[in-house]
Amino acid sequence: MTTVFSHGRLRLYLLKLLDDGPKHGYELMRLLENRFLGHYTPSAGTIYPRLQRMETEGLVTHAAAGGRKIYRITEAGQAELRQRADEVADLEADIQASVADLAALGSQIQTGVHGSVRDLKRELSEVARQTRRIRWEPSHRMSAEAPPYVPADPAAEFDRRLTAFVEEVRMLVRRANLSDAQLRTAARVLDGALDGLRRLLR
Amino acid sequence: MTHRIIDSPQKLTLDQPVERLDVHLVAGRLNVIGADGPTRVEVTRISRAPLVVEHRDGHLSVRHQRIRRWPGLWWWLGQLGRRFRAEVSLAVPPDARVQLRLISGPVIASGLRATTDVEVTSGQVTLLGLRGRTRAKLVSGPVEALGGDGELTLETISGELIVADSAAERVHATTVSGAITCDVDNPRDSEIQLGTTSGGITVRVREDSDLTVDLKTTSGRITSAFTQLDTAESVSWSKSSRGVLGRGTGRLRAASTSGSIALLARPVADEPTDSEPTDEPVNAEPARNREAGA
Repeated sequence: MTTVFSHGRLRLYLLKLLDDGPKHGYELMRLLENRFLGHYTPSAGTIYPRLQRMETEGLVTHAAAGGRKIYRITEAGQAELRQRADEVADLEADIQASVADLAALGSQIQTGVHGSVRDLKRELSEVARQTRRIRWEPSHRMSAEAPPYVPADPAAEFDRRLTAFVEEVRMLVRRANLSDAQLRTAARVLDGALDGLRRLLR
Repeated sequence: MTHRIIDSPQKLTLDQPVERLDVHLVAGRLNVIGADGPTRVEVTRISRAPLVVEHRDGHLSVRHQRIRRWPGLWWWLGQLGRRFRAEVSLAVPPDARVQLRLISGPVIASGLRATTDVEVTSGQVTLLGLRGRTRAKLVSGPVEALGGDGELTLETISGELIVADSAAERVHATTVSGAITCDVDNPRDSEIQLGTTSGGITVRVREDSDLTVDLKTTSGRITSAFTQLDTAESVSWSKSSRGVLGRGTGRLRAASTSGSIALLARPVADEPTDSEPTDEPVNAEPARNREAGA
C-alpha cells in the first residue's frame, strides 16, 4: 500500500506540483513540507536525485535562471500524470481525510514511513553492493586516488544514449516498412522496456 | 481539571494547554501527533476495561483504570490482551513532553518537538519528523524513523532499526538481533553510534562529513564508499576500519559481531544557490544545508 508519504507518490506529487507551474527546487521542498503537515521536509539529498531521475526519464526539464534551476513539467510528464489520474485523485482524497481523522492519519503515517524506509533500505543495499563490486575489482589499486565511483557524467551519458536510441529505433522502423501487427508488437516491446526502467528507477 | 472515564469510542477536545502527556496502555494502538490547536483525544476502539483521561495543571494522562484485585496467572494469560485493548489517537501541541508506554501493539508518533519517550514491549514504533530528544525502546519489534532531527536513541532486543533522511546530530541505535540502517543528513559535529550483535549495519552520511570513523565487525566484512578510510595496512574487507573524514570533528562508530558493515556517501545538493532564495523566508533545514554546502 502506498500513501502520501511514500516515494512512489512523492514522485507523482512532484509532477503534480510542477503541473501547476514551473518551480525551483527550494520551492518544491517547501510545498512538500506543507503537504506533510510540516512534520517532514524531504531533504535536498532526497529531492534532487529524484528530480534528476525524472529529468532523465524526460518527465521534467530544467532551465537555469539567476543561478537556480527552475524545473518544468514536459509533455511526457503531463502524459504520466494523466495516465495516473486515479492515483492523483486518491492522493488528494487522502490528504483531505488526514487532517480531520487522527486515526486515519496515524495509519497513513505508519504505512507511509514504512514504504519510504523500505524503499530507502533497498536503495542503500543496492548502492552497498555496487560499492563492494567496485572496491573488489582488480583495478582498484589504480583508482585508489580517484573518488570511489564517479563515472564521467552518467546522467549526460544516459541522455545521449537515450536520444541515440530513439533515433535508431525510428529509423529502423521506417526502413522496415512494418505491418500494423508488427508495429503493435514493436510498441509492446517498447512498453516492456519502459516498465522495466520504471521499476528500476522508482 | 478534567477527569473522564471512557468506555466507548468517542472524541474529546481539551481547551486547556497541555505541556506533558503520559499514556499507559496494555494492548492496542497508539497514535500521537504534534499539531497546533486544541488537544484532541480520539478513542476509536475500546474493550471492556474503561480508560481514564485526566488533565491537571497542563499534564494529560491516558491510562486504564487500576486493576482492583490482583488477578491470578490464568487471568493474566487469557484476559490481559482482551480486556485491556484500546486504540487511541491524540493530537497534542508539538512542544509537549510525551511519554508513551504500550505493552503490545504499534506506536506512531509524529511532529513532536520537545522530548518523546516511547517504550513498547512487543510491537513496533514509527517515528515521523520528530525533533528534540527522542527515545524509543522495545523488547521485540522494529523502529522506523523518517525525517526529524535532534537526538535519537533507539534500542531493541530483537528487531530492525531504520533511520531515514534524518538530520539528527546524535544517533544511538542498538539491537541484539536485527539489522540497522541509518541514513543521515548529518550536521557538522554529529555523533553516530550503532551496535548490533547479529545483523548488518548500513550507514550513509553526507559525502562532505567531518567524522572520525571507527567500524568494527568480528565476522562480517566492511565496505566503505570513502577511500580515505582505509589506512595503508588495512584492506577493504578487514575486520576494522578507521579513518578521518573531513576535519573529523564528529564521531561515527559502528560495531557488529556477525554482520557486515557498509558505510556509504550521501550526495550533497550540488546547487547550494538553489536554497538561497532572496524573496522568501528561509526555514531551518535548507538554511543548514546551505551552510554545510558552502
